[in-house]
Amino acid sequence: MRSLDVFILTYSALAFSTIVLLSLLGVSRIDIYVALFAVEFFVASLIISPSSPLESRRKTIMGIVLLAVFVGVVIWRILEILR
Amino acid sequence: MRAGSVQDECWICGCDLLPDDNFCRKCGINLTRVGKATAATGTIKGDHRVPIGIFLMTLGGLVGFVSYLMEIIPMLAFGLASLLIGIMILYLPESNRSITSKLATDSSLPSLLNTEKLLEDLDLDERGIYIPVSGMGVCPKVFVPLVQTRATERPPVGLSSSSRIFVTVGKNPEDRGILLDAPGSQILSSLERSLGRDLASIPLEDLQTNLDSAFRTLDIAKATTLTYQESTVSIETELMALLDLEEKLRNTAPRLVAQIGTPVASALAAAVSKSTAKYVTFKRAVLQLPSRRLSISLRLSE
Repeated sequence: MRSLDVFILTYSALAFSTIVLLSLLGVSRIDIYVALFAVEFFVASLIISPSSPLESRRKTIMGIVLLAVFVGVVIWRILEILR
Repeated sequence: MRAGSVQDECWICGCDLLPDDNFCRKCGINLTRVGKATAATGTIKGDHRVPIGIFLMTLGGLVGFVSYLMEIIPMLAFGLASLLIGIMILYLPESNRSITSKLATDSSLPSLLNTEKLLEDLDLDERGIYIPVSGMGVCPKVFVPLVQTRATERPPVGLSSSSRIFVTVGKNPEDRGILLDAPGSQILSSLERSLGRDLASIPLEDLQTNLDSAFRTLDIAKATTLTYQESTVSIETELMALLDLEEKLRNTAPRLVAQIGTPVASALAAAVSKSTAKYVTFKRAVLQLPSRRLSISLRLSE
């Protein structure tokens, strides 16, 4: 199995486990799910090393987008608390 | 023009070729049509991933939209996750070359090209003969005769211990040739290490199972089949690694491919030579790029 397939399977397993776990805990805020999806992307990227420079570059671009989403969620939460 | 590109004549013997020929009709060398093969490979790979990615994105989008309207947060999260995974599948490229495989190709190609130049400069047209040996990690050497004579057909078994390149195996001046380490010698050693056995102790009947298991363990190939009939052994395997090297060698080193074999083909020939304790010569080695299948046919002689 290629490393990209392993990466996607690992990420899918992490993401869907999160959905099951958080829904069982009764979490009803979508921003928490989204923030965890972003964190899991970086976890999966660290566990599974890229197999080609192109794959690595595209993963970095996706990582930047997800990091921006994560930062957005965090800022939103901070603003909520401060309000 | 080199074998491997679209060509009008064989690079080895100069024989005329028809556009659909896969082999030279005179010398039998395998002609890889790179353009067609690469296009075919791309189509197969593209077909495999795109529908899955589109399906996940559509599913994620629909589920997410409906869940948002119905305010079901876990379902909305499910939709978002599916959408994200679909985007990943479509956006991240399917790489069929790992960094390790690329490094293996880049580091071994120059030395193999040197062997090709040696064969070319010495104008050696005879096929290499794998001399049987035994012992864990010991690989058969390949003797490429200058001309086919009674003495060069069966080089002495003791030749394997020689460290010389240019050797004489008979009394006559034409009983000469070059003695090379097999390109697949290190792969063969790795196969034996992974099996924990000397291939010389494995009969030909059991060789297929052992080769298949060892190739899978090393992530080199899978689905290896071996059939034999009298003095011919045919092996087919599906490559999981080194495909790039195999393709490049077919384009740049046709003599090496046809006469001695690429590293994987050479390892297979050496394995058969060890297992049968017979001299082994390549009859043909064909690589089908779209299906990644390497088919080799070997001739055994006592």
